[in-house]
Amino acid sequence: MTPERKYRPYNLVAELTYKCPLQCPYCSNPMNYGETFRDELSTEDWGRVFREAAQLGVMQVGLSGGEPGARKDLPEITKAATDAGLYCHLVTAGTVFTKEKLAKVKEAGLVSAQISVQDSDPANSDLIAGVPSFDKKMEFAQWCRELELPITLNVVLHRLNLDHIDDIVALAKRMQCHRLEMANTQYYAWALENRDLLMPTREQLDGAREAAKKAREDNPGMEILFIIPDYYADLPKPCMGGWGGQVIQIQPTGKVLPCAAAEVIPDIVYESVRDKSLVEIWHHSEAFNRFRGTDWMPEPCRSCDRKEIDFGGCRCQAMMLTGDPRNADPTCQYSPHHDIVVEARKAAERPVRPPSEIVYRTLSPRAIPQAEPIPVKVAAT
Amino acid sequence: MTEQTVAPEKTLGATLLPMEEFVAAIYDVGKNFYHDKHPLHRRMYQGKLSKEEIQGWVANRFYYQTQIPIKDGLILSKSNDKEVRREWIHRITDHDGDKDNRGGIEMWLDLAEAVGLDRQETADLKLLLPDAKTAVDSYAEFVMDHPLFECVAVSLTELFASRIHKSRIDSWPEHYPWVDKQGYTYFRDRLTRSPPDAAWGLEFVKEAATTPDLQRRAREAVLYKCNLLWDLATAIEEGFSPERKAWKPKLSKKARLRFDEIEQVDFVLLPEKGLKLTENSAEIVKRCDGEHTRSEIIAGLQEALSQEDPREVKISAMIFIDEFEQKGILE
Repeated sequence: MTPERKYRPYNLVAELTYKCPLQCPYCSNPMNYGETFRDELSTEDWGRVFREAAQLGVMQVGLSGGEPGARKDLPEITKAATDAGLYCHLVTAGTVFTKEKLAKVKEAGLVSAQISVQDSDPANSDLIAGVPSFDKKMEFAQWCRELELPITLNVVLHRLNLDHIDDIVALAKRMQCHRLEMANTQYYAWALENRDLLMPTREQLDGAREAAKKAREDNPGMEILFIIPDYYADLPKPCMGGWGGQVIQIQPTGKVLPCAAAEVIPDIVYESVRDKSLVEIWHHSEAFNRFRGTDWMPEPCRSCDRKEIDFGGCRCQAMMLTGDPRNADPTCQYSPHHDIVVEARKAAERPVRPPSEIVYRTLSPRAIPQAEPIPVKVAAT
Repeated sequence: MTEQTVAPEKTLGATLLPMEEFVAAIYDVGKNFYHDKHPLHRRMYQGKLSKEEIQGWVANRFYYQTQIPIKDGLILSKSNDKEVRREWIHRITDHDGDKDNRGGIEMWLDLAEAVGLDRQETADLKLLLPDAKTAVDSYAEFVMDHPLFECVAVSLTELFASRIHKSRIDSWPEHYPWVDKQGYTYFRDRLTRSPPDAAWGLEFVKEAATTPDLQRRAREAVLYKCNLLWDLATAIEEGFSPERKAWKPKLSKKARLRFDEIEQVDFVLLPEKGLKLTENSAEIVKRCDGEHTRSEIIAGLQEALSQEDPREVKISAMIFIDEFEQKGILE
């Protein structure tokens, strides 16, 4: 295998736009996206990117955002991806579609849709999303069923909904989902800003994990994923299958990243598909090569026998929590900075900010909505 | 994001395997080809069988019970060793019964009543399917045609039987509460009788399997029996569930089959996941086109993979199709 072949991307996350009517407080979009992201790639740009991605070995594309449905040309973009031979999966909140538009996207080659719901409880879902949206999502799911589009339900889990696993599973069954993705919030970007409000207690997490396990046994026909927060793991995850290992993330303006959070590392220049081909960027850019392999690792990763298993965990988490992206991911028990994570866990056991103080994702960061929040049952502390 | 599916393992017989590896090869046959993986049994433990299917299974499997003492009588006649005959003879009374024991055949008829069948009609084989009869009848024929060593080896499926009895005891009360509990006596009885028989049989075979050819024939005998039980299950499944028999598997709406030029392998693509297929797995998936029934798919596969054992191809393919159906990849 040539060095070039050693790193093959299988999956492309195409962030088509950062426009989104929702304001989830754990949004993985950058916190500074503001006006600079108005200059989105054109339909033709995306067509070229998909062809280059396929050439690199990408098989699947997640049409994501923001809210990909906010792009008027979503059917054309979907067709371009399908024509390039990619398996198209839509990652949506489902609130900005009409049935006709969804039908066009399906016609263009869409294979499956992932709908986000913020909680099984409609009022709580709307509170977390920051806008009334639950009913629209249910309507969207109805259209998916009518159009025979397989549905994944995605619920991001955290302190405010982690006790509702049984209800979430019941909702997924009502929606006739073939797949239920329950991933706990990881603390990047907006979620880090809201960490003290979103971080669950150990007891909550254990209860939810048990409930998910039972749901898996009771529903063999549904694929049920349950992903814990990194902060409660003892060993780090093999983030993105290694930096520049398997995944490409492209921002609405064309900037190419190894993952959604990668911009937190300040001294890396990420290149754009507007200036270079994706093939060139994947194989030869400084950004993608920075943390490939193991030579960049300091201790304790360098001498660790797990370095080829988890690649030292997440570079972005290391950056955010220790100030140096080369450090071991502090969620690792062998990290000298592990106490940061342990402290955050301890803090979650104490009373936390009330949900009325959610920092919602907005165009102007850190704005706290003025409206009176809907009362919400917060998990026992 | 990729997972590799497994291919069936190789047959033995070229060189004499160390005892540990020989025994492992026998257990591998059970692991890969025993009928606890049959879709009928998988659906049974998941509570998905209808009352008619449960009754059909009990009624047809009864014929198998009636043939056990007959084949054991034939095996008995093959041995010049009185120690072997003394050991083997209790297998006949285990099923026919004696003054201390009701016997497996009567216990199975208790089960028949417990699932709502008429005892006499079951005993008279009124619900027996032709394909089930064919599968079971081959057992006595095998025993007539083969020497003692292979007949003992055939019985080694008992090594894998406890787990299937246990699965029934564990899953039936929850899923089929309408079955009278007294019907479970047979399964419970086998849990204590089966392991010592299996252990004796294994020791006998281990001692006698002194050449590569005998080792190969021992494995072949176990495979023969797994195949018999498998065909019996298939006959029952298709006989009592016309929609399973008529099912023409095809990829579900979320799944796409794609040949990858870079790695030169086929993938099944699913939402946020890809399964890398082995060559044989890809052969199966390609045949699941919605135009062919499961048995047609298997016939085509056996022809395409003519260098492989057709029984292994059949069972592996049925397990594979069943697993992919369970995962919602085939429908």
